[in-house]
Amino acid sequence: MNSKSVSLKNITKEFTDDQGNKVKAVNDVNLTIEKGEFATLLGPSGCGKTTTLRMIAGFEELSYGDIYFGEQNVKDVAANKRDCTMVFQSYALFPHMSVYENIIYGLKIKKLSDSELDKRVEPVIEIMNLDVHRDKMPNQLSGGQQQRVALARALVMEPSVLLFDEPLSNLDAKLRVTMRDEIRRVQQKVGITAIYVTHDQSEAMSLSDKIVVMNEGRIEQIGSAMEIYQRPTSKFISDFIGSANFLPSKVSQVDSNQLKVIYSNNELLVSQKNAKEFKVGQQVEVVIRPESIHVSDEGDFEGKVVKSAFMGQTQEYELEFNGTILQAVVSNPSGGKIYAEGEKVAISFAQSSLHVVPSA
Amino acid sequence: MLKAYSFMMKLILIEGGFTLKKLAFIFMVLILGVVIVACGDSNGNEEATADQDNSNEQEKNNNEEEATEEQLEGSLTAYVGFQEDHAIAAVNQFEEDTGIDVDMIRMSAGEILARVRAEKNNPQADIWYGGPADTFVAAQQEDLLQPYISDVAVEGISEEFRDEDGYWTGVYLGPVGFASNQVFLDEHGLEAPTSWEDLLNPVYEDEIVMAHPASSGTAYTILYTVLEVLGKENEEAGWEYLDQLHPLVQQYTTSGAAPGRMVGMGEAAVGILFAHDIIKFQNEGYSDLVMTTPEDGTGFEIGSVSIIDGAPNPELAEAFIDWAAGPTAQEVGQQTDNFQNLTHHDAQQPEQAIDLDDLNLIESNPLRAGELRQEIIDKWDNEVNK
Amino acid sequence: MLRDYYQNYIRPLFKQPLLLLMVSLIMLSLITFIAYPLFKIFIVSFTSEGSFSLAGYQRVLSGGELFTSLVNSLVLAIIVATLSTVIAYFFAYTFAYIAVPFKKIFNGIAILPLISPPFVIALSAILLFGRGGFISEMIFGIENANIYGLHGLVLVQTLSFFPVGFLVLSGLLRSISPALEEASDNLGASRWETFKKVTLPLSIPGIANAYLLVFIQSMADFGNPMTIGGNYNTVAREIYLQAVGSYNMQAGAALAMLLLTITLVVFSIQKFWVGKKSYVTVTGKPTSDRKMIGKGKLRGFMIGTCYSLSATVMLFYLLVPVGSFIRLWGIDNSFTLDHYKFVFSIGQKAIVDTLQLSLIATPIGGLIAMIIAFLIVRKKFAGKKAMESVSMLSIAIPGTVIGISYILAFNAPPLAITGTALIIIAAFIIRSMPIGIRSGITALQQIDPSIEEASTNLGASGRKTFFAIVLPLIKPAFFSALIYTFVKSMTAMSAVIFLISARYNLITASILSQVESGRIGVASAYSTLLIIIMVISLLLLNFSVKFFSYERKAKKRMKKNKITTDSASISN
Repeated sequence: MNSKSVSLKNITKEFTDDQGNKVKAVNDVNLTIEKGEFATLLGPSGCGKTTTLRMIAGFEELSYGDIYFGEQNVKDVAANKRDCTMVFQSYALFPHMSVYENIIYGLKIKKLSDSELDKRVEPVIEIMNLDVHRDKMPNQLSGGQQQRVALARALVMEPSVLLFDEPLSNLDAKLRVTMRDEIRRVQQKVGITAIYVTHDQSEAMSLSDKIVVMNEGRIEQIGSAMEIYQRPTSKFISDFIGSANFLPSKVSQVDSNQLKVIYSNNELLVSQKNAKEFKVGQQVEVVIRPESIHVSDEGDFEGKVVKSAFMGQTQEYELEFNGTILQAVVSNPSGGKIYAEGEKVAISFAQSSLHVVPSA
Repeated sequence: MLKAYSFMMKLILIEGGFTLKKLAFIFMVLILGVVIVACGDSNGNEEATADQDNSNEQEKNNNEEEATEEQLEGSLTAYVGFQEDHAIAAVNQFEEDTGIDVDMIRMSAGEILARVRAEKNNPQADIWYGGPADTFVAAQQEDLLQPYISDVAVEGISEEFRDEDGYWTGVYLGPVGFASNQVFLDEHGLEAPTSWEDLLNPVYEDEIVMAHPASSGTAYTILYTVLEVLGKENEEAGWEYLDQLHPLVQQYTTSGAAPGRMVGMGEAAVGILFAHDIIKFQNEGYSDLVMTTPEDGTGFEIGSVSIIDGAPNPELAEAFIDWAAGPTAQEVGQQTDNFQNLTHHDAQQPEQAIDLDDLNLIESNPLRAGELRQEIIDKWDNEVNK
Repeated sequence: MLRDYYQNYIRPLFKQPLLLLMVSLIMLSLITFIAYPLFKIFIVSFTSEGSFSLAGYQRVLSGGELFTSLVNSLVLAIIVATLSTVIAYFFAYTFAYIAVPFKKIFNGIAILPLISPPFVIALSAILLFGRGGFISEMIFGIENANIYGLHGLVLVQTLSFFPVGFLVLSGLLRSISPALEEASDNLGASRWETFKKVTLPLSIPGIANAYLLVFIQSMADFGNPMTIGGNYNTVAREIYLQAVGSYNMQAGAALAMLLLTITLVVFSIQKFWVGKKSYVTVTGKPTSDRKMIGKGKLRGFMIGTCYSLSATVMLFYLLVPVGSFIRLWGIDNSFTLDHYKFVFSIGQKAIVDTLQLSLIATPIGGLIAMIIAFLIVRKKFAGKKAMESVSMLSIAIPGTVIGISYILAFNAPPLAITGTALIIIAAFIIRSMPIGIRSGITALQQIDPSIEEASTNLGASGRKTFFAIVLPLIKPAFFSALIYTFVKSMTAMSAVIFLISARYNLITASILSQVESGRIGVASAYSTLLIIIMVISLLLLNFSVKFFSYERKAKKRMKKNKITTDSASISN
């Protein structure tokens, strides 16, 4: 495969909405995806991720900026001449063509000889387990099968870049997991550069080498799944990825890689790589993941159980902590003590599990 | 053409896939088809002029016989005021007799006049065939006609039935008559009307039909006749009569002959129209139709033929006039149950036609009728048909 | 803002040369055959002998016959629209709420008048209710029956146009969620109260829609007033008489402008005001089936009424073929083939010409409609709004207005094409195009745009995508546009009656001239031919929509697969 890296340089997409206001759907996005890398654009709906993908595919014109496949600037290359194929949310199989006809559609346009065509198609059909379905029409296939045809149709073109536009959102939960693994397996096997758009964080985390979190047309953070979960750079990300509690606090001391913050008279110590970016006296939010809250009889701080729910695998609490309600999740509750509503409890946090982001 | 077409449709509809080649083929056929059909007329004209050039050269060689033979090719366009069956039969006969193709459209005389007027700067037709002479006179006054004195007409048609300058040539006569419904007459114990005054009987309220003067030559002939007969001494008397007649009229039809059918069906009691049209309806089986004529005087049309000014094919058009003036052409009407009185001395008068000697005909003066046409119609429109 | 516009609307044109070509070609045709003629008629209506003048309008508005025709048309349109809407609602309600046996047949009957030749109902009315008419004389013994005039027109137009209202209203009633009525029921309302307080208020936008659409149809109608109007003069007919009868173009143009203004205003009200007021929300979830009323006294009454009205419509269509075999209706009721002999000998040219011109117009019209629909639904380009409104608005331009405007626009250079086939074909296409476009748009909207994007993404050019993906997917719509163009062209009259020339005769013009000179038998024979063509086309349409849909292909495949797997298992 002649896989290529993809670079987005200052790309911007402007629309004029119904009221005549100018809206930037994508705002000055810069991003490089390495050759063979699996990158996911993640964000809530309307964040500009799909528009970005469609600009890469050539379906939308850029208002500003450039797009490179490898060394080549493809900004002015027509959509049908761009060396990237896409798997659509709705699969977009041609309903009047059989599975086989769908798969060879692009190769036919390239005017490949029959023997070349077979050489390209058969391995893909094999990889995607589509052999028994090759003569069926799309509406005779299940959702997962249609998904595989769509992927096969894109793969067979041997593009430099493979694009996915929320391809799993129409599948049921179980199938989604299976297909997710399959997509990752195939991508790694062919070693192709892939750009994947989704709003589902678990999809993003399980698939990606690199997650690009977008919000309101801008990139919020780029990083691996772990980086983004553990070291979010903004309140938005910590809220969007996983669930999080926030303690509005004030920085009281900045060290080289740790911070001291004050939350309503309680002092918290936070390990933070980028501690230097904060100033003493700055308003910040301390991010605490529900699973990082330790609930016991004795601990650092005092709190009160507001709500308690037994969920089987976990016990979920809502705890009042100096005026803030914290969500806490305790695993395997059957082994330990369960607190009832109204009870006073002690709360503690592991220093390493705390993280500080600037106040929004 | 048809084969190519069906092949094309098959390509579009049956074959699923489209290739560039097929597509190119389809568009070629489409465009070709449109061009062929659209250019049909002009091609014909070009051929005709080419033939004429040809024949002119031959005329120079004083080879007249051959020249006339050469002329008998090409294509004419005619506006015809006859009933449709008569029109088509006549045109077919002409094509058979001369080998000249004719494109024909049937219209009321008023419509032909309007159309020729509209096309003045870009004449589409060569011949105007059928309709009262007064409409032709109206056209002549607007320089819409081209004179041609046919030898056939000079020899066979009396002077009162043709224009001395050859602007129009009368080929048949059609007197105005009354068509009455026998059942209606019996029910009301009436005799069929035999004078214009008879029509004013209140029993005919909402029972009289005639055509509308704006569109129908027949209707104008009727108006002119009434003004001539009743307004002979005092012009106002004629208009008074029309004023009185108007409230009794149930409907003014677009075409001149339609009142005959309505009376035949019993939709109206009395219709005013040309005698030959009444006879035609009687022949078609309208058994309750009785024909009478006003004894105090009746007018008639001189059904005429003329060349339209600026005709694309003037020489073919002259051939047409020669033919139309002759007895063969005039006798075509009888074959399709159209029984006008014919103007050519040698033409066999139809047996069914009304005998002109039995009628009290007004003096024919198409020139005057034509000159007054617009004035009378306007006055009628403004003062009578309010 | 400008840069934005350039980016999104103009640049795509230059990036796709084919798109640019298509857009400019279509724009050019729309301007030539819709905008320019209308502009011309506007100018002429204000011109007298080369200078500005209001004489035309003065003539129309100063009273007299021209003004009467305008008033007459309005009165007629109001009566017909009211009656048609009432009947249509009654029908639509019955079919949506009551279990009616043989429902399918009635849907067919509802479509009939939409594509029927213009004279059929009027001819039948004469045969039935005229003097010597079947019903008036033989059944009721009325001898002075006179069908000509306002009452005849009301009868004929109501029968012709109530199906238009029916289609609108039945669509609307079907989309009212039964849950709303069940809720009302559940809260203790009687069926009548539910109807009065829930169903009726919800259907008011549809009622207004139906009313306005029928109003436009009635105003624009030409064939019926020509046939059965008698002395009750209407605008469309007066335009014809002014233009063709006395060639008073200024008065004709002024009248045409007034008619056009009325229909366009009504159309705009219908489209932009009523259209937006619809309460029916599309949730995407299929509404559960309505429980049909299966018994009750009222049910019998309603079904009975609908049956008898449908039977009347059927009778009107059957009578014309019957009349075509009768020598002289009401006078000499003997059997004859003479009328057909006439049609196939003397009238043959009209049949051949009409067929020829319609067959040329059909593929062009169908393809253009699909291309315009595609451009409107899927493409972004400068002037798209204009293209959309001009091509859709043309549905509201009365045929007579098109006719007179074509005479005015194409009689002199630069485009002296009167008398050619081109002008008639153009009129055919323009008249049938809006329906084709609409069906194309509906079909396209049901297709996921990403299917076309997928094709582009896989390397297909715009042209390849249109012909390999789009057209096959909207084949049923394409085919119905073809059929509609064909039928509409075969039966076109109001516009082309102005355009017939010596070279090309049309069946409808022949019918009109036969009707005018009173040869109902021959007119019936011609109309019967048209009815046969229409019925065959309808059957073809019905068959082909099934035939061409890819669902059928899927089923076929399924069978084939089954056979092969069966045989495979046998061989195993």
